[in-house]
Amino acid sequence: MSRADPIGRSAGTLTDRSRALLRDERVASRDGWLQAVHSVVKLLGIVALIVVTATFDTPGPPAAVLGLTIGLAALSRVPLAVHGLRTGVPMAIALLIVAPQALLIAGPTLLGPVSVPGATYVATFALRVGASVSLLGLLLSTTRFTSLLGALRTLRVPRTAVTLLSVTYRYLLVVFEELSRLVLARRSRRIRRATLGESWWEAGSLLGTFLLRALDRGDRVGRAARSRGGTSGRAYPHSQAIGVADAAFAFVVFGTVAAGVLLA
Amino acid sequence: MKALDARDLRFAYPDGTTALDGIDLTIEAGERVAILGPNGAGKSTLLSLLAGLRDPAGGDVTYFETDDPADALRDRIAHCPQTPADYLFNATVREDLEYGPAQLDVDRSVAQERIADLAAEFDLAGLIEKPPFRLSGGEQRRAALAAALAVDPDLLLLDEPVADVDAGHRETIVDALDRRNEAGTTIVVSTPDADLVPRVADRVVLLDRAGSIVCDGPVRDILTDSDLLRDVGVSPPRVTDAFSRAEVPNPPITVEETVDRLSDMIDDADR
Repeated sequence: MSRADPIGRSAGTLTDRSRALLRDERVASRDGWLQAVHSVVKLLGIVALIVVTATFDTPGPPAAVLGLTIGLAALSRVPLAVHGLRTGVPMAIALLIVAPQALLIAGPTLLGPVSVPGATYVATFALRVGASVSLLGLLLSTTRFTSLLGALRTLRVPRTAVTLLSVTYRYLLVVFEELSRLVLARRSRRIRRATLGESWWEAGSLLGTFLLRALDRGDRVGRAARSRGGTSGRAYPHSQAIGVADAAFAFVVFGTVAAGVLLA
Repeated sequence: MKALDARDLRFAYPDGTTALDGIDLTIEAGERVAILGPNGAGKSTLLSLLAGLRDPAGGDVTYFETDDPADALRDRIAHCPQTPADYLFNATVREDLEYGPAQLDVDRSVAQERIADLAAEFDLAGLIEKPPFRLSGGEQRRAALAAALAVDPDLLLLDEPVADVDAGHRETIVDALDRRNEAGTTIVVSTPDADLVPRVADRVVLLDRAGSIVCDGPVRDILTDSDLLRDVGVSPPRVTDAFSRAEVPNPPITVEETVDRLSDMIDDADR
């Protein structure tokens, strides 16, 4: 694809990345620590850690939880560079959003116009976001989607919410597949390099066609799901038994929560 | 017993184009029926109406001589659409094969055994953990058919079941359908390919471009009427066409029949 084709490039990248994110369960299939933890235990543990992380107003504990997640990622054979990127980007965005607070919150000066309470607030906020995103990333990358749905059902999460999650996931998969086909068809029929202006001109048509095709495809997939018994989100759980990995993970979670309570 | 009974089925597309116009169709349990017609005749629309997946503009369909709607009989009726990618929307082929049985609360051990058998039967063992979108068109077709069969249906509605499939796997699919039919499954196949019809059906329902049934009868009667087929825009089977052009009476409709006929003709010539 030519450099002067931002629409094709952006759509192609968005499609490839999204499909990889949604469908890649290679990490969840690996022989790692968190992969061996029962999905219900893992979901409860991760939620507990996120709650604990959110309760602190100093940067130390969220930083410690963030460090813990990196250790867990390494022990679970999660690619650290990818995990770091997925955590780092939201953390950087959070930092950018709350950065003015470093100047606006009054208190003793740290450096120039930056106050100590302001800097503490900004660091704590960004670290909380980083630790929470990292924990969620670990949960999603080390758990098969069907196991996650099974865990939600076991925990008596309302059926409508689980079904909604299941249907959204399945529709996202097909919508991105449709976009991928559209981008490929457009690329195969391009005879010469599009100028920047031409690319932007085509963007409206591409978007309109994509929306219509996505609706049509969604309709057909809906019928296919209906013909197979509906979209209740029911799935067979991947066989898992409670074992040593669950006990070790529970120990880590309880230890972290206890330390948090004592520090608070 | 009637597996399916459609009365005065009508359907029009949102732009007002008539797709199907007053279809009456009764299919007995255990029958093998081909819905044959040119592109745009409404075969796929008819199949999805027969599967209860679209609401007709008029008419109704009953199943197994009951008043139950199709949605209450999803464990007995399977429909496999023309585009297999629409049917495969899970993360892996295994999850797609499990999808139907899981929705219908089939016991897990029963489903696992069935899926293992289907994976072997449709040569999917090496593909079972792959995402469906990574499969080729023919592989997707086999996976979609296996997914449709995973609920062990009594009525199987298949839209162009061997499109995109290589010759070897085409035989695999046809043999699998034969086995299901011998076990009592009713099979309805839609196709524009007259060469496929004798392999998968004993009865043909011929549709024209106006969305009407032109004729309904035994495979041989319809496939040997080359003029009728050409009138509706369907090419006769190639072997039938060749013998018809040579003005040989009672032309064969399959390659096997052609071989027998040619052997007889050679024997007669030798004598």
